[in-house]
Amino acid sequence: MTQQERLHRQDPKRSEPIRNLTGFLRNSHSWGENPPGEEPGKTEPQGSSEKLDDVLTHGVHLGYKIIEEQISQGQRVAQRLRKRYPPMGDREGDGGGEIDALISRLLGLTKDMGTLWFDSMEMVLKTPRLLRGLAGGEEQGEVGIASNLAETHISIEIASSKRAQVSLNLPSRPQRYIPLVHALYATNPAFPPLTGISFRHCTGSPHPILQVEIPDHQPASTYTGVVADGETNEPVGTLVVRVLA
Amino acid sequence: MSIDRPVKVAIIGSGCAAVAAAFELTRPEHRGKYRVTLYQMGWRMGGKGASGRGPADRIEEHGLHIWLGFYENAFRLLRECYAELKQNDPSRRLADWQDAFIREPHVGIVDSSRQGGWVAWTALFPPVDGLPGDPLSTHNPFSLGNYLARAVALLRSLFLGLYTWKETEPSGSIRAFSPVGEKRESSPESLIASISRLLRVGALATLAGLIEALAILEMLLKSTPTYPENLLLRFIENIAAAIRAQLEDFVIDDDEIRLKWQIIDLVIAILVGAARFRLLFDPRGLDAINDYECRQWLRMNGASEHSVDCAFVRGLYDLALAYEDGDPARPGLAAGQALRGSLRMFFTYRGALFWKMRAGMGDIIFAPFYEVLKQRGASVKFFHRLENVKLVDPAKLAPGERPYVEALEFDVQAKMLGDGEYSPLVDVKGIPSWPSQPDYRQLEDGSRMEREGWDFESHWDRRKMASVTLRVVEDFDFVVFGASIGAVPHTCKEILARDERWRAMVQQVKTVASQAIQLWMNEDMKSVGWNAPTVTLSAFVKPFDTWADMEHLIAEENWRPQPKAIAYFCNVLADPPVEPDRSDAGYPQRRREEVRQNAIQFLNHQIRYLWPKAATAQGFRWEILADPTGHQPTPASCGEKRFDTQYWRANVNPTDRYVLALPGSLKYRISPLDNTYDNLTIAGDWTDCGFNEGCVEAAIMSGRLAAHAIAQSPPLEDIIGYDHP
Repeated sequence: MTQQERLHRQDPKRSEPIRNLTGFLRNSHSWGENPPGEEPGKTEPQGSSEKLDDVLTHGVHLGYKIIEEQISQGQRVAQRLRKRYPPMGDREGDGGGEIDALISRLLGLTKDMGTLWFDSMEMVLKTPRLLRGLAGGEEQGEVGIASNLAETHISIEIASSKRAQVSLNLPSRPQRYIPLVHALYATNPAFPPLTGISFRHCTGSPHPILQVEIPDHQPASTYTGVVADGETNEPVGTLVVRVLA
Repeated sequence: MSIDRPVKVAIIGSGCAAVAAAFELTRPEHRGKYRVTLYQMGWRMGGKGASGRGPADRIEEHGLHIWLGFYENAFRLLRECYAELKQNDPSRRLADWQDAFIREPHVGIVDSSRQGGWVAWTALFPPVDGLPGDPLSTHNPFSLGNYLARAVALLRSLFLGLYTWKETEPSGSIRAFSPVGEKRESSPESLIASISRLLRVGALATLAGLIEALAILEMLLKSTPTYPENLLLRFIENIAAAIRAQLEDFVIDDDEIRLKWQIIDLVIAILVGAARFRLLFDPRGLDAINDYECRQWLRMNGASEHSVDCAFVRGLYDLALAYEDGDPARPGLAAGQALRGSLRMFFTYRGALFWKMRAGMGDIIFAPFYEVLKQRGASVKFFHRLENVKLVDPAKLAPGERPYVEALEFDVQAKMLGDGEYSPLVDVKGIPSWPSQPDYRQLEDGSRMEREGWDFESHWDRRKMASVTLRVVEDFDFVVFGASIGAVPHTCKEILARDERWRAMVQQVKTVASQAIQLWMNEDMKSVGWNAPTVTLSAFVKPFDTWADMEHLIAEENWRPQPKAIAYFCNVLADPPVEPDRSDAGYPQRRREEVRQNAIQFLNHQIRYLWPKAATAQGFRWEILADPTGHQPTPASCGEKRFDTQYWRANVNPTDRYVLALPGSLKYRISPLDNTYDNLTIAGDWTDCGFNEGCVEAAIMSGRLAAHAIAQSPPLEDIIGYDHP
């Protein structure tokens, strides 16, 4: 037996599932099947299926649908009950006044809540910053961090007294842009966001540096956020900073 | 990798993961490129899914095995396996995979009633288009839109499709059941009660919808980094909390509506939590909340204590055996995986929610796979117990070369007479099946082994006939470690000594022992007092909280006279404070005796709540148990002793233990795609396989990943649900 005879495993293209939004919305043609007209083995590129606006519109549409259905269902029940049991004063148990009061309360709540929902949703849709906040992991690619960095030549500087891991997922784009990082949030809403993160340019170098400053008091957790095109504010990738205990 | 000889793959174990890896690597498309050998201790394949035929050819399982309608990978491979066998032998029994399963649409849970006694709830899950394993070409079942639509449909169907069987007799037992909404009395009082209930249902629907909507709105606002805090948000939170409290008080005394409200409350909490934790946009998907215990996470997102502790949640925990160290007081399930499992289970099943096998799991699953693998040229080496995975000396590695497995050391538990190949299957009514005991006639010194009681599957029985060492290149090129994680500490000591990640995995990815009993009865279910449909039911009292009616198996066994009912029960089994030493050969028998005592207690004191006519004031009616020898009960044999004619087991072997998905533990799992060791990959429901919970589907996914790690096939996109959020 010689060392050269031993077979080696190929490195996998990736070693983790894609669990982000784009994976969620991907128009899958799995089970080895390909869409009509597509070459065997060719898979759909990430992030090409649905745009944020489509997702949001769909979500809002569903939200409206839920509300409408529930409101109308409640109203139907109330109408049927009124028809069969007109108000007739207090009665023991579940009948009479209790039912009447309940109907009033139900319809009042329905009206208030329904109005509140519609107003609030309209406000959300009209607020660009809210929409960007929704853009969390959109268009995240499946390639690993190393290849991304190699392609885009971004250096990372970490200023932290704690151990930290940084995962920057920045698929290459055809056009040039200035990256911008929004605050990164932990899964625990009580934790303060990581705000000391920015891209900067060094004189004499065409490539940006990602600077990550982690305060000493920052709780250990995983913080995630969006990298955006600084000019258009369109999301272009994701950034995950894992602060270790 | 371009060579002109077959690539030799050694697969350790032959459970679901190992078989899936073997099946993938021996696909005809590979044209014989991979020469696969599975190494299995004892005489049968299947791991935790192994079964055997005992006296009267009765089926004896490790526990209760039911396939779920979302097991897309498992069903797909099994369907391909059956199709391949049918092509070669169209006349075989159960030639079509659908013949091998029956659909089970009813799921039951048991809860204590506010009015005293017990209430059994049985939900009918209607058939869904398609079959598990069908190609998916029109839509992605794991899309946001799909889940939302199904969540809404669930809320609506709770009022339409949930059948409730409520206690109607005051005896404290569940004697008679009548589906709500059917054939009601028409007296004024009952009508008022019905209308009152209807109103409550309407209120629930409306308010629940509003809260759900508000929860989504809350997420939109909270997830925005720079949006200023405002009164609107606080107002919404206050209203949502007030409505929840109001509804809880309103419905809590009504058993029927209480359960419905609890489920709605849980769905709302999930939607709120998904929003609050930004799960839809987190690159880790649902894994982002895996450090939280599921109940804790539901509480954090507004679910009431009543809902978090309801029978529905307990039932899900019971089905997942999710009790750390087997302690019922310590439920533990990682929130993200629990959510993923629930979404998959309830929203992506096809055909039926549950699929029951028409015979033993070994007969329906592993015998067909064994036959196909043999036809494809794979080998199965029975009676090979892995003792050591030997790594190469680091000093021998070239610069940049990854460490690799240099040798595999086995105990050979038994040798075949004449150096032949062990023939493991027996025919039972035309179905190739595994016996519950090895065929000693095929073994060298077999009669002595039988006389001395060699237990080839016991971790504590170290007896062997020989040893054998397999060497890299010479005997194998790649290794798939497909045994359960319980075997790792005993067989991978060199890896554990060197590798911190493996050590962390072994410490954090815990397993739990389980106990199971199977009863064959001379009376049918109606005679023992169960009048509801055939069901799989959980959340019952410990120590056997899960019961499945397995009457459909009677026809596949060989009893004279035939029993009239079969019931399987299972649950966790608490671990002793100190792990027994490997030299403690009597340990399995002591635990088995413990299960026997648990079962007798359970039948004497608890079973009457499910089957009121199976017990009297003196205890269980032991005479209703069927004896496989055909002996009719005599007064002397009619006591507890008659339980000895039934089947029970304590799954305490390290590889028989069920793998838990405890909060904070899943990040320590290692993927089959991990390439730390150049020629070693792992497979099993204990690995990081995309669906990190102990089940057949996880094991199959893991096996497919292991095959991908070696052969780059199947494509990862072809492993259904691997890229699930």
